Amino acid sequence: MIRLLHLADLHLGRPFQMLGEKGAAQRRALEAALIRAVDLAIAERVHLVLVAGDLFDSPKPAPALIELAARELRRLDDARIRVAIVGGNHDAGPDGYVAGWEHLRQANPNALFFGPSVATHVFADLDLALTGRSPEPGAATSPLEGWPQTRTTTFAVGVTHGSCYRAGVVEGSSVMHPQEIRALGLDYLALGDWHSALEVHGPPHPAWYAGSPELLAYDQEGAGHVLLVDLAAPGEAQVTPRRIGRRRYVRLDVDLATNDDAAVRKAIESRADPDTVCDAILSGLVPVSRIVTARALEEEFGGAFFRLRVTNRTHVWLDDAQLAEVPEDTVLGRFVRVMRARIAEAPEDRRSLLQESLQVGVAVLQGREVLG
Amino acid sequence: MILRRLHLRRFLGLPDAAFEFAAGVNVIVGPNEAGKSTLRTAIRTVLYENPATTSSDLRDRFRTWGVTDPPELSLEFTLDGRTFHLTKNFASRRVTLTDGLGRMWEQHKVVQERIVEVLGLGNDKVFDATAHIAQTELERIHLSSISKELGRIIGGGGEDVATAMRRLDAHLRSLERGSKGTTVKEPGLLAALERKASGLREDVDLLRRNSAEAERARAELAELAAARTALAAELTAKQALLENNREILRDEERLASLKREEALWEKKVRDIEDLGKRLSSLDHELETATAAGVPDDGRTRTARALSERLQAREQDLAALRRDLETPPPPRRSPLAGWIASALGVALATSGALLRDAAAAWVLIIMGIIAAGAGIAFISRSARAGQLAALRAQERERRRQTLEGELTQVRAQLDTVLGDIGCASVADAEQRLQRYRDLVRDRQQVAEFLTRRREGSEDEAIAEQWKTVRRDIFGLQERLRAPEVASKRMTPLQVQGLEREVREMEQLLAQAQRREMKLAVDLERLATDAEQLAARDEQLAEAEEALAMVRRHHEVCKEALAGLTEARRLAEVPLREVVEKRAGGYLAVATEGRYAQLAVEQETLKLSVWSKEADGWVEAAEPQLSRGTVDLVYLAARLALVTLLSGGKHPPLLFDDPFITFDERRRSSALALLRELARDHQVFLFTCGRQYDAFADHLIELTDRTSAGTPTGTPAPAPVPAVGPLWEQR
Repeated sequence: MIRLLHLADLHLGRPFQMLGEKGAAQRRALEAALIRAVDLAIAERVHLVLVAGDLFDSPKPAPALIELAARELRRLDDARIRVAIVGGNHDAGPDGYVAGWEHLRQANPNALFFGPSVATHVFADLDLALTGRSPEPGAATSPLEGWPQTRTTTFAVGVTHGSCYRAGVVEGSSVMHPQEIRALGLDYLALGDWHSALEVHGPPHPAWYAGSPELLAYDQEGAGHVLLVDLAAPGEAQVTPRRIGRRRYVRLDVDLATNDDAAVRKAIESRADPDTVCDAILSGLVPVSRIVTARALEEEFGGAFFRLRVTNRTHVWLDDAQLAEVPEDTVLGRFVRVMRARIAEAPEDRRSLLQESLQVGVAVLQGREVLG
Repeated sequence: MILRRLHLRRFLGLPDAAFEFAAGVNVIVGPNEAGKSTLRTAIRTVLYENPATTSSDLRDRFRTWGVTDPPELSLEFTLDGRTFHLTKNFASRRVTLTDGLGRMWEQHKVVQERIVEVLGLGNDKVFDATAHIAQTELERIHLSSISKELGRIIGGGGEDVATAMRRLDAHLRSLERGSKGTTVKEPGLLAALERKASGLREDVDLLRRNSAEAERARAELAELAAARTALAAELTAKQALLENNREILRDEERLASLKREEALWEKKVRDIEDLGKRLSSLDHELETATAAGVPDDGRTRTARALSERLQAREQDLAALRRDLETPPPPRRSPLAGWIASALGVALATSGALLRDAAAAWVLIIMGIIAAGAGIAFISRSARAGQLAALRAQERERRRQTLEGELTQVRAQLDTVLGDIGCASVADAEQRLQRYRDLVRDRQQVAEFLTRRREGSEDEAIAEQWKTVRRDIFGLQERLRAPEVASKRMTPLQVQGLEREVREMEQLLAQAQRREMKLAVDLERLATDAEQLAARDEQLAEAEEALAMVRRHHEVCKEALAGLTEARRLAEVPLREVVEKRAGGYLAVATEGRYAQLAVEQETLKLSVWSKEADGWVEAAEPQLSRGTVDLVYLAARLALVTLLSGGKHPPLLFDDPFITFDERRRSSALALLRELARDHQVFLFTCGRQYDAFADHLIELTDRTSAGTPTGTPAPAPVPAVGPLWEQR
């Protein structure tokens, strides 16, 4: 049986504006993920590691990152594990190969680097042919174009980087179509570009995105994995996602219509974890008097998470019954009615702000401390 | 809310007793010092004061003189059919409120909130300013006490509108501080975040610019390094070629030198050989000469001397013979001398005869001289003749001597020559000279040879010569080698190459200097990617925070704008409500004479519409009578009670408010009170008995030793023919 380890989209060196001052820690996590992936490859005694592009976040990565990758490639070489690398749309140099490949090759002379032209390498001892290609920037054709469709070995595997066709999504002509993948007849196609682990073509010619081994953005629930691929026989690939990422993304939807402030706090607190990136979305209808300060929640609970983002998408509940409870002959009553009219007339992107203004005005008239 | 029973203990001298009250108009009558004001104070105290206060002044204020413990007040009241008991114990500092269901509240804050909720008047000041109308306070509307309450009521939210809006405005200003280009010591959050974001943006831009510059420098450095490497390689090749040619030149010079040396060595060797041969030859000749015999040097010299003497003598003899054969020169005649002497004498004598002394002496002297010369000539001539004769004799004698000497010498010479075995002196000398020459020559040759050898053996010298010849051969071979021959350049070409190398060295030095500068620039500009990413992230965070604060600012601005508009819209109708209500009350109280009342918004100054004046008249003396002014302010305060209590119905306490009213005015005022009694419990404290018939419940306070004696609930006074308040228009 042949065992492969498929990883992609590590994006070493990536800046994380969305994480603010935690960005540096996440970059260290990316670097640690690469080390853990190599540790896993060694522990699982894989035959071949496939890096399907975007190892780096930039075509000009920092020397320290190239050195890190070189060290890890050297470790693979020392463990007699083969490695094949394609460039991605972020880290391919002017020659189409992954940035710094000459230096990486010095560290691991046995490493395979695929450039913008299709190439096939045969591992005679494994009876396996590996075809690979780095994407060509601005290419109008799929990266799978020109790939061999017949095999001279028992096993045939591919590695490349690019986007796959998705129903309903209009992309350029360079996307890979399921028919193309099927026509290649590969035992496994290792893909990179999408940041969540995902099978895009099923057996007997599976094609997978490994996803990013570490979280790169807020909405990546499928990140944090590498894929172990066992080829017992042609057409019988067994793909097992293995989690190596440290950070987890959690989306928390809280309906304030059915949760009071204590329940909201409890819901957020229950997800607290130093390695969790939490997106807490507060929604629902709230009475005018109930002000939800997203920032206050972030400040209160942010320390218990790696990163906490609280988004207030609540809407003020102000129907006629609510209005009837506020006498019109008071400033409060007049204010609520004035703001209600303004909210109704305002464009969609302004309504949230005016709703908040309504709540603040009411709270101020009620003598509550909301101006913080 | 209806107060039913007030039980007082130890309160400002009043007896420990309970006072019973009823709905409607409660008239409390009694003389001065009977305790009317105290009872009024007790009602106010039980409704508003805090028994848990730590202020001993406050607690002592209500304490009966001479009694140690502070007072205790208990109030029973009904609300919407439910009975409540409120107890305020200033001694134990406890307050309790219980309802008919057994619920109890003991925290003053909670209790007071409930009492205020029922009364509708938030604090004692508002109560004093509105529902608690004292005799002398009709005119004053305590603006400071009620304005906040009015604002709160008008606000509708519980907070005074003006205060709320001021808070919001202050918050906005605080946020905006320093954000509109002004320099302030402590900028607000907006300005601080804008500056932070701006600073970070500049940092990021600078880092990016530096990174781009570093990239350009790096690219240029790489190009330059490649060019320099190529230039260095080319220079090295040319330097090598130049060096090769210089080496060729050196070799050629060395070859020439070796050749010269070789020639010298060859000459040396040849010289040594020649000298050796010569020496051998000389040795041979010396041997030959020696064998032939070498004359003795001394005897040869003797022979030479003899020969020379012989020659000399022969020459002398020859000369002598010639002299002898040569006739003597003719002698000079002495006649000339005799003439000269005679002349001299003549001259001298002539001179002696002259008269002229000078001429005489001249002639004398001349004569002497001439005579002298003549005499001398004559002497010489005589001597010469004598000498000639002597000479001839001598010559003859000498001839004879010479001839004898010649013979002797010739014999000696022959003897010496015989001894040395030479035929002649010349032969001897020649043989001796030859020997000497041979010896000398041999010595010279030997010395020369020694010098030429210079202390070395001939074999060594020959070996040296061979070595030099081998060196020459080696050099020649090297110079003829193809790899050397192929590099050989002409001198002109070498010159050109030297110039080229110099230029290339300068170019290389320039390139190295440029590289060093670029390396320094690169070190200065090189941006750590991690630093740039971190700055970018800080900037994103700062911009996000700024966006949030800006949004918050916008939210507050909209809220303030909304509140401003709402206030504008709300206040006018509320003032109108007060004016309308107060106008209604005034119309009842003045029997329709004054029915319209206006309130100035800020100062709450009152004006009434006067039909007589056909205009608005300020409610003050002398424009209006004292009584009318009192009625105007009474109407206004009653309207404010209604407004400020928010529809609640607090009890109204009147302390003889109509004391200045005449009968008719009093009657109208009482009608007004009756109307009020429909919704409010009225307490009228008075000294006179004119209100007894008006009371729904009469309490007589005789003195402080007994509680008021309720005298039952008299039949209500007839309502004057004035309808409900709202039907007065």
